[in-house]
Amino acid sequence: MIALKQISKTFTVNKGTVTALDDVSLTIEKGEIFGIIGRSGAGKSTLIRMINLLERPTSGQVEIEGQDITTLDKKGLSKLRHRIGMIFQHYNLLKTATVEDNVAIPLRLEGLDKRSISERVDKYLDIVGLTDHRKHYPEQLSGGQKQRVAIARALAHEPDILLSDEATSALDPETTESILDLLLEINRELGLTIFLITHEMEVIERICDRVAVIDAGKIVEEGDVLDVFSDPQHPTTRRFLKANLDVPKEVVDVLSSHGTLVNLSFIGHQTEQAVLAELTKRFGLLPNIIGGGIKKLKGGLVGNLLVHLDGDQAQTDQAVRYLEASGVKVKEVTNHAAVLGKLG
Amino acid sequence: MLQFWGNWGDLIWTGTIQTLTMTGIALVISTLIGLPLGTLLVLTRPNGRLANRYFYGALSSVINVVRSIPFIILLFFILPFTRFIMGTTIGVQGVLLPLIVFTAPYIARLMESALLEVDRGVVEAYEAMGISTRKIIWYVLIREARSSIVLGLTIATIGLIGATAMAGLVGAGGLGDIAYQYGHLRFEPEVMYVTIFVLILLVQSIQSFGNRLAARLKKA
Repeated sequence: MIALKQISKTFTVNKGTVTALDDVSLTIEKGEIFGIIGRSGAGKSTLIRMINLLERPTSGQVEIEGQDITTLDKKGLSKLRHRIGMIFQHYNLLKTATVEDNVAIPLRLEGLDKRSISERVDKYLDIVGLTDHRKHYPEQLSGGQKQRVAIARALAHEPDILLSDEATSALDPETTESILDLLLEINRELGLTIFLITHEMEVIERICDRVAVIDAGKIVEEGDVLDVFSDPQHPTTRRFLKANLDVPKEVVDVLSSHGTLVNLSFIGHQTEQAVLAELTKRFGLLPNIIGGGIKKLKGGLVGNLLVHLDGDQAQTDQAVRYLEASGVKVKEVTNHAAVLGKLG
Repeated sequence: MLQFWGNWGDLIWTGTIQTLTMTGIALVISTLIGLPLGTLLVLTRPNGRLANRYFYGALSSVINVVRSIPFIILLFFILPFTRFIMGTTIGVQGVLLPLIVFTAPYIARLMESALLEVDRGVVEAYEAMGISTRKIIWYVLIREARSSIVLGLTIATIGLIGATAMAGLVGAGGLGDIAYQYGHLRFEPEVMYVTIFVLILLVQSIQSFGNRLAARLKKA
């Protein structure tokens, strides 16, 4: 549906040039929720603005349904933008207009007739659950409610694509959850393709089908959320994933000196099996769990366990073979950094 | 008291009407010029939607030059221009042009700062919805700035009332002229006190009205 082809973007700042995006290629499928995660300054904001050409690429093509949109004229671009909704971190509502006017005014400017406008206002305020607040002004609403107004405003154009620019970054965790649920619902019920950028792991975990990690203007890792999270390859991805578990270097050093320290990744139903107990029963090995965690992703469960296998080399080899045969990913951990990277 | 009004009532009433007429007409025309100029300043400034360094620099300099000249000097300085445009240099007609030349650039600056207060994010949101720049200017920029615009125009109105006091110099009358001619030259202090009182009343009511309107526009 959306294809970014070798997109580069450079800005001229004080006679020097800054590269915001460096040869980025991505494909977003119809109906999926695609997330970009990266630290601030990584190029996320520039990247999302390529899709509706709020920023133009220095080189490369942006294709939507096979059409290169960088060649569109003014009218064509305006038409295209009606089909792409966008929501923002700071909501960007008219302060001088009521909730219903915030939804209605853009439709009026687009030239829609009165009846359709009032129908759409009713319909989309209902979807975001703000029918009771239609006469209120933005300053009378909470952050979550303002974001709902912004979502209604975006949906009222009945777009095919929704761009979300850090839409939950200014919200508390509980409100974030409710907005993410709303986005999921929109994606399912209205079949909208959602492209979002965020610096919050939680957003990716809860609602994204696929993820790309961006660092210094480059996509460093990309794939199904489940795959990327169960087996992250790039240091930046690992850094995003580390948050949950932090094992002191001393512990790793001591444990690595006898036996083997391994990280086990489980995906989906494997998380329910008692594989460690089997190790003791079958090979007489004593697994010692150092730490671990389990995460619910949109596509299923992902578990990680840091386990110390106390036994001789033969036992350990057998155990690893058995684990791999059961579908568990096993990685030996020899240093602190790797532990940080693997656990999450 | 009655005798005072008998002697001076008509004169002060006429002066008040003259002041209000000059202020009103000059305000309307200056706003019609100043608001678009202010909008142009915002659009063409560096990083603006139609950024143009040369246009912005030129416009900004012209505004600064005109604003550097005190009204009383401007009044005489542009006499030939006034005669050319208005056909006369005296009376209300003769003072209107200098008042407008004086006030329009001032309003342009006030409008510029009012429009700059508008959150760029809202403008971006409307841009992302495919809405034309022309509509964004009117329905987003000016709409969102309207409360500050009203406050700016209130300040400009009060400035105009002050400037009209000098209109007497070209025979346009007004309250300022009465205070000078009768109060000062003919030494009738009561007349001066009363005109000053009327001026205070005018300025107070305009400011209160402006404040109240701005507060209402902020929301509804």
